[in-house]
Parts: sequence; C-alpha cells; structure tokens
Amino acid sequence: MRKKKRKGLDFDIESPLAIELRRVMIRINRELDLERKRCIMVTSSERGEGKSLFALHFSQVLAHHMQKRILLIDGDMRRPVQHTIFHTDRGPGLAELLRGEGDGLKPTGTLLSNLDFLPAGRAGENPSKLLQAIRVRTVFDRLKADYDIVILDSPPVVPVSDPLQFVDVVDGAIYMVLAGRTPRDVCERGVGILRSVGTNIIGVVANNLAEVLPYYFDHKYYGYGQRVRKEKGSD
Amino acid sequence: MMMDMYEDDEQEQGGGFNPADLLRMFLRRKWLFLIPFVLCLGMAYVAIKTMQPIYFSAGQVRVIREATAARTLTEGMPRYRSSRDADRETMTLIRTIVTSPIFLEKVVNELDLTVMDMLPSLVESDQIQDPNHPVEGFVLDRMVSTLEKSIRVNNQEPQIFTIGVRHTSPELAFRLSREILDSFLEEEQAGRLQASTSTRDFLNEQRQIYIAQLESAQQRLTSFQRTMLSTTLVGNPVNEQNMSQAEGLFSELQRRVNELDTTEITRSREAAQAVLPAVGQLSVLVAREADVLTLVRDLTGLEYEQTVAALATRPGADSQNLLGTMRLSLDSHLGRRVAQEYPQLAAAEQATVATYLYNLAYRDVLGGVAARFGGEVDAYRNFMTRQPEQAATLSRLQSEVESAQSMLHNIEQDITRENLSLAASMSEIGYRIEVRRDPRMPMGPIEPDKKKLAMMGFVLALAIGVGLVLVAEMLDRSFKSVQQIESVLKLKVIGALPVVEDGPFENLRRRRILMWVLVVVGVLALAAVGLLWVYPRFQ
Repeated sequence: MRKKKRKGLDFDIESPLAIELRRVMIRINRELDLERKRCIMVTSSERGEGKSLFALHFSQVLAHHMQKRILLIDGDMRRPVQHTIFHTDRGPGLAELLRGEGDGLKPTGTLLSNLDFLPAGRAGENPSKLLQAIRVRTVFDRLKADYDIVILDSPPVVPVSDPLQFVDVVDGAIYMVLAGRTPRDVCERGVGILRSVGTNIIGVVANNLAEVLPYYFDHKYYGYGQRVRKEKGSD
Repeated sequence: MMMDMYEDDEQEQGGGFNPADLLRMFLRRKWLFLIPFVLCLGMAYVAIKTMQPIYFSAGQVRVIREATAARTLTEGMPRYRSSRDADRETMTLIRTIVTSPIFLEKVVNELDLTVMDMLPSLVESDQIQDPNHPVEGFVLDRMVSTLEKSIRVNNQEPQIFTIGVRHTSPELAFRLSREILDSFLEEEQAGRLQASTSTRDFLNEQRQIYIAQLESAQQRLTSFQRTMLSTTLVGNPVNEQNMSQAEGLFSELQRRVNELDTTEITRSREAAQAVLPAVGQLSVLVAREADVLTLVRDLTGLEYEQTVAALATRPGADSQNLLGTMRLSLDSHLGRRVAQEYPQLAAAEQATVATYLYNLAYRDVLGGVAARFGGEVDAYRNFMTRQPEQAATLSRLQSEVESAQSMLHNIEQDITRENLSLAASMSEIGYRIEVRRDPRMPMGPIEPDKKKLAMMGFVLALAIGVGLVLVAEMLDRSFKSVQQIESVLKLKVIGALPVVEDGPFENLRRRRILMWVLVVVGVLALAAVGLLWVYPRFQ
C-alpha cells in the first residue's frame, strides 16, 4: 500500500494505527454525526493508557480526512503532556481561559493547517477551583464557536474528578482502555463514575492489543518520537 | 468470591480450557519464561562443571532375625508387628553405633588420618598452618563431625543394610568404609557378648581360686604325709571318714575276684578246653608277653583310679571311658594272638579261647587292684591304731583335699553349663549379622551425577519459567480481549489499537519490566540456594 505523507506531518497516514483511527472516526460519525459541530472527550481510568496520543493522532486523522477545523485541547491541567509533543510552552492555555485571563489568547497552529492545539496552561495548586460549570461552559462555547470538532484530552476519571466537569460541555466521551495492563475493576469503576453523571460514552478504544493478542496485528505502529514541526500558515 | 468477577467470560459461560489462550498467554510472556529458563539451565551447567567429584564406598550386611527369638524374652510375645519395624530398629541401632563420636574417634585413630585427609579446607583457608597438625582437641572434633556427615546407612531391602562413606578421595572412601564396617561388627559383637560372658568370666575367676585352694590343701596333706607319716601312707586315699567305705570297696573287689575265679573263669576254661585241649599252655605263654603285661598294668591303674574315685564319691568320667577302651584293646589283642597261634580254628572257637584268656588277664587286673587297695586300707588301719592323733589330722587334711576337689569339680561343671548356655543365648538375643559384600574401591565418582543434575536443572528451569508465567497470569486482572471489554464494561469497542510506544508508556513499561526482572532474579537466587542445599540430601 502506497504510503501517503502530508507535508509536515510526522504520522504515517497509511499505518495500521491510522487505519484503525479512521475506523474509529467512521464509527463515531455514525454515533454523533461529525458533520455537525461536536466536542468529544477522551478519557480513561488512570494515567498512561494512551489517551493523549490517541487524542493527538485521532485529531490528526480527523484533520486529514475531514475538511473541518479541528481543535485539540489538553484538558489535563495537573499533568499536561501534549505541549511536549508539540514542543510548545505549557501556557498560556486552558487554565488561563478558565481564569478569565485569556483575552486575545488563541490556540497554536500545527503542521496541519486545519488542526490547532490549545495547551493546558498553568492552573496553579488547585485546578479544581477553575473547573466551575459556568466558566467551563463559557470557555467551551467560545471554542466550539470557532472550531467544528473539538477533541478534549481530559485527565483520567478515577484519580481525579476533573473529567466530570467537562461532561456537560461535550457531546460524548471516548473511553480508553489499556489491554493487558489496567485492572478490570478499575476500568469498571471509571465507567461507573462517568455513567453516574449521565455521560454519553460513545465507546471504548482498546489500546495495546498487540501485546495481549500477539500476531493479531501485522506489525507494530511506530508512530511517535519525532518532533512535530509547526507549519505556519497551513490550513 | 472476589476472584470470580475476574474470571474470563468464556469460562463463566462454560467455555472451558482453551489451548489457544494458553499458547497466547505463553507467547505474551515469552521473555518471562525464557530468561529464567535459560538462566537456570546455565546455573545447572556451571554447577556440573564446578562441583567436586564425590566417591562412595560401602559394605553390605544382612541382619538375620531368628523367628523364635524375635519375641520379648519375658513376655513371649512378638516384639515387632512387621519386618519393617524390625528393620527400622536395626537401622537405628546401626546408625547409632557408626555415628557415635567415640566410635568415630576410634576409626580416625585406627586409620591414622591427618588434617589434610578430612579437613583440607582448614589448611587451605589458613585456619591451620601446619598440615601435620596433631589430631586432637577441636581438630579431632571437626574430623569426627565431618566423618559423621559422610556416613550413609541405608536399608534398601528387607534385612539388607548398607554402610558407606562419601569422600572426595576414592582411596579414603574405601579405607573409611572398610574400617567402619569392621569396627561396627566388632563393637556389635562385643556388646552382645558382654552381658552373657560376665557370668562365665566370674566363674572362671572362681575356678582359679578353687584350683589354688586345692593345690594348697594337697600341699599341706603331702607335707604332713612326708614329715609326720610313714611313706606307706603317702598318697593313701583312705582316711578316717572313708575308712568304712574303703573297707566296703575292698570287700567288693575281693568278691569280684572270687566270682571271676569261680564262675567266669571256670566256665570259660571248660569251653576253651573243649575247643583247644592245650589251652593251658597257651594261657601261660600269653600271660608272659610284654604287650599283655602292659595292658594288664594299665588296666590295673585305671581300675585303681576308678576305685579311688568311688571312694571320693567323684565320678571318674574320663577314666571310665578310657577303661572301656583299654578293655577292648586287651580283648582284641588276645583275639589276635589266638588267631595267630591257631589259625585253623573257626572264628567262634577262636573267640571262645580268647574269652578264657581275657578272663584270666582280668582276674590279674582285679587281683592287682584289690591287693594295692587292700594294702592301703591295711596301712591306714595300722596307722590309725598306732597314731590316732595324727590319723585324725591326716583325715582332716584328706577331707580338705576332697572338699577342694569337689568344689573344683562343681565349678568346672558350672563353667561347662555356662558355655553351653552362652552359645544358646546368642540365638536367643534374636539376630545375627553376616557380611554380604565387603566395601570396594570406587571406580568412579557418584557426584556430580551429570544426567541427574541436568535433568533437575531442566525441570527446575521449566517449573520456574512456567510458574512465573502462571503467577503473572493469575495476578493479571486486566483485559485480554475485545470481547472481555464489551462484556465487562457493557460498552461497544469502537477501536482496537495495536500498541503505541511513547514516553509515558515506555516509563511504565520499563518500571514493569524492572519489577519482573527483580522478581526473576530473586526467584533464581532462591532456587540456586535451594538446589545447593537440597541436592546433597538426595544422595
């Protein structure tokens, strides 16, 4: 299969991971109709299950295949990682917007012209204080006005309660599960927590299945590790 | 149960054992299996290469228990419920003997072992500077302790026991096992005999005392007889106490002579004359021959001893047997002479003539005994009449001699009885030991058993590897398949990603791998210690 590479994109669009992400996109589209403005939260039970990378690559796949304006938000104000991938500063970002200090603050562009990135910002010692419902709604309404699809990389749902503050502003949640690692009871607990607040869980994305199912996939995906160059002026 | 909620859904639905899942499990954790497996095999290889060869030499004994005597002596009930109980007791007995410190010290001294023989590590580690350090004190204790650990006592078949020694030197193993077996047999025998021979030994001691007492009494009597009495009374068996008995014996002798003369000889002469008219000449001729005279003289002496023994109320068993033999000798000699002189006579006729000649000769024997004994009776009677005080003393001394002789005779009988009883009691104790096979020089080392070690290493490696995989799998409560996720979370799986390597993942992954490495190393270390501790006990 001929590999296509977009200019400035350090991601093999024909890799098995990308193919699988396209499938995810198609399935989500059936659930949520992505032709409309949508905000999708990506969460999981605990840290290290691959939410951030999934959110990143999924937003890249969306940006490739849909002629939409995509915004990736790093919603984990306690342990943000997306800014390291993009090699940008941690702030100003979402925290500043929630604090009301974000006048004139705009998300950062990426190598993909239709994909922007909003870092987590610096929330201080008590991020929970920023996550008041009205503030969250105000910020997200503004962001959703500027973008067609917002992908929110949220903190894990079991250790902290931050994801629950985003439930009302998102159209659905994707639940990441790290197969072969995360205990089942922890996953059940996380799902239970989301259901208890009426979250629309679109579905589960299982990660690391190549390890639990050897030879299930033809080859591993070596997608991440190189610097993502910011492409200025690209759409 | 808590664990039930983690059971695989397929199992809950009665899916049962799935070999594919098992294979998948091992493939997923292949390094957790392979690394310990290879390390264990490597350890076994190193152990095989570096272990010092050990040689073993053993002797085999059979302990035979007598059926009748496998009973308690007082109760008469069976001592053992089964032969295995008896063997177990014997095993304890053997082991107790051959591992006792005193026994082993004796073995060490008998073989003249040196420090280098048994404790080379002490010299190599400079705890002892001189290889010729005297074997005493703590060195001896250490050698005894080392030797005790080297001894093996086994009971592989009923009644068959093996006593062996392990050592790094084949020659020493052989010498030690040889010495231990020999010493054990000596010790065991001595222990059994000790109680039984004590009575006999006591009696032997008493016998020596009685012999001394008899000699003393005889010496006093002889001395008295020489100094105070006439020589005619020296050796006279007649005394005051037995005078009447002596007179009775003399009368009996006379009666026998007369009876022989009047009845036996007359009858036999008539019969002989009927066969051989010239039997009178033959009798005179034969009576003067030297052989006949010697036989008659010997018979006279034996008859006299019998008479004296009867006087002392002591049965003269030895002289009785000899007397019978001598009589037969005289009879056969006379028979041969008749046959020589008159070969034309029939055998029955020759026997008739020989009987007559025998009666004549025996009359001379009895006559000689009567004369001698009668002379002694007369001599004592005369002495008693002339010197009554000395007669009393003589009588007393003779009584003492007789008493000492009687006591000596009794104790000799007791000793004889005790010897018989001792021989019988050896079987009454219940067992005897016979050597079935002597220790031999070992031809090759018994350790390390390369095949056995390799097999053990392989099995251990396999067990550890499989064990770690199974433990990891048991502790793993994560999802293994899309179906599991959907059934447990009741959510649709909309994406199944292979694996994504990144920083956070890698950190977790590295921490996880490090944890398992530490677990594996810890388990292998325990296994190594366990192998080195357990393996020698399998020997």
